[in-house]
Amino acid sequence: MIDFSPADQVVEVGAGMAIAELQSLLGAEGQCLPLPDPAEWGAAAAGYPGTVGGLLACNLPHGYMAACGMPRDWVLGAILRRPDGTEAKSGSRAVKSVAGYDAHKLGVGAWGRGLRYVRVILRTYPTKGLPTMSIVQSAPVQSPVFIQRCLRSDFDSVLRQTPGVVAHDPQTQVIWSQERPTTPPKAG
Amino acid sequence: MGESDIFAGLASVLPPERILGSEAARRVYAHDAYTVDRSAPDVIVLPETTEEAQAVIRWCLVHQVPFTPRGAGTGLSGGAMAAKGGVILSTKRLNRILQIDIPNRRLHAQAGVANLKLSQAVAAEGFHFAPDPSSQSVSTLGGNIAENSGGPHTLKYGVTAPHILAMTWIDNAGEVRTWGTGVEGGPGPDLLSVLVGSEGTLGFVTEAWVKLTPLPARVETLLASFPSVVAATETVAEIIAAGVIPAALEMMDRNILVAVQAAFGLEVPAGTEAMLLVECDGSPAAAQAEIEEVFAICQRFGAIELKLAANEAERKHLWTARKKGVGAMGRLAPTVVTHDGVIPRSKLPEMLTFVYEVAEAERLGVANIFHAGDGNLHPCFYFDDREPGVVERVVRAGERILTKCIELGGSVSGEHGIGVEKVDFMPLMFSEADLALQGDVKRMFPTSEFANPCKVLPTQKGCVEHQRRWRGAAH
Repeated sequence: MIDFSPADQVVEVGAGMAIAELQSLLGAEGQCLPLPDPAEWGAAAAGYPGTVGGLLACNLPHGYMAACGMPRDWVLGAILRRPDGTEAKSGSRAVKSVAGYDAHKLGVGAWGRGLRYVRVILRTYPTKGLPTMSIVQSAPVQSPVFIQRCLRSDFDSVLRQTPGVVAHDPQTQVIWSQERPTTPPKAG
Repeated sequence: MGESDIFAGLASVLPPERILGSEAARRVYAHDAYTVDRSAPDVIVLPETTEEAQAVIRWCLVHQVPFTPRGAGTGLSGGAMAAKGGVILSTKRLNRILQIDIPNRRLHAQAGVANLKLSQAVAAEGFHFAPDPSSQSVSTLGGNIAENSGGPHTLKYGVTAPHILAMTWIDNAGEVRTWGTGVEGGPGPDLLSVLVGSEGTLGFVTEAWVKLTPLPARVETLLASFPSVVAATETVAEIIAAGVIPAALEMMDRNILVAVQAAFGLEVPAGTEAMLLVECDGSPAAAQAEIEEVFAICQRFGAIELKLAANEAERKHLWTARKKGVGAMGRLAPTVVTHDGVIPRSKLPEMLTFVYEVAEAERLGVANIFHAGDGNLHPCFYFDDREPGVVERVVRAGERILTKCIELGGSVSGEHGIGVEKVDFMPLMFSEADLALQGDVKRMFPTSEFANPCKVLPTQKGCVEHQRRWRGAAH
């Protein structure tokens, strides 16, 4: 951890820090990243077992997504390593900023391709403000899993047709399954 | 190419009644809400469809005529200014809501629809479009996307980016592209988030699917008066530190209140130096619990008076000062320049003290009305621009404030972008390597020196001379 200001609800950490470790450091000040506890919910539905950099690179759905958004919504800035090895900063410690092109968003969901996170600046959440989850768990959620998101109007039928469902969230229409979904993804 | 050639050329791709070129029109479109710099376009075009906008952009690219997108022109950084003349590509007639899909909580609209119209269209169904810039009655969806706009309720609901599901846009090579799907969080790099907030420099957005958010079951609104600015800013810090996330947490200082009092008859208790407007929403129990906690914190920090809205009419009344504050500034002086900077919220007391010091040193009136919960300042300098030398002092005061924002770990823009105004500040906030990365991000997209020139990144070809001319013309 490079810097943590609970009063600002902003933390700057090395991208290699384990999320579990970060959660315990933030927790000491009543703050957290709004991700469910993997011990309780299974690694996949919690959205992590790994590092901060991995969390952003994967940008996976999780149980608090409806109220707190996805990891992409928490990243305020970063120091990034480019493929040629040089490093550059993007964003700031302010909770909102429109200053140039948000290069720090390019690593989100990119699975480590292109830009890599060296350090990231994240907004944190008060632990006491965490919402109640609406995940329905039907079996222990293990990694790896298949994750689907669909339109609200398709949710019931997709859920029925998906084999090996281990959890689903009616609020965000996310389905976690142990088997590969048979329904082809729909456009729109 | 002269303006009559541009007019004649564009008349081949667009009905002539949708091309404006009169002296009056050119003057109106010479600047946005950043009134210090001006540069008149040669013509203004008003496309009604994606295809028409594409035809205009292609014509401009072929004939090497600069073009600049524009929404309602409420931006504060000159982002909608035709920096090198040429064509203003207005979204004024791209004003239709195309589809409302309540079951899937989304809405498809053209870029020129005013923000508030989106919410009004779905209010009866119990939904709204959550980003709510103070200019929402006029500012457009396209403009909100370009600037990644915030608003009073950003604190809880986020800026524009997380509310955009998909977009149809025309890149700077003239190709129509559709990005995003009906659901958010699809796999792959988050390119949509790069496009949102790129100030209309990477392309021209013509349509978007936006996310609809359920209206909260209960809203509690509190207006608190404080005997000092410091007491109010410390209250803000304490509310955040206590782990409450209000839906809105706004602050107004004495000079704003004086203007609002004169314009709208707002009652301000004697001895008030600052007011906080706090809104908590959610389930009735949660909203109630949060507002009670906020109430107690305000009392602890010495609030003179606390007014809790008992119904919707009272709630609207309490919002008067915040919503109409900037407009009421016209009572104080003929010209108002509003700045936009962000700092980590714990630095608010230090920053506000600095703002008052700068105003005093530069002999300018200043009023503050801003999104305190986000640390997003909007110091409004008011003056008479006929007074010799006053514009230099306003520009200098703005520069000092933005430099301080960077020093405190913040940003030079919270929701109005870099535009032309803040281009020179980019090297203060970012190193050469940082700016090189941003340049490469821009070059991931098709580029053209004629597409919205002189914005965002410094050292663009031929912009320095233009900048001198604008500022020279303004003096």
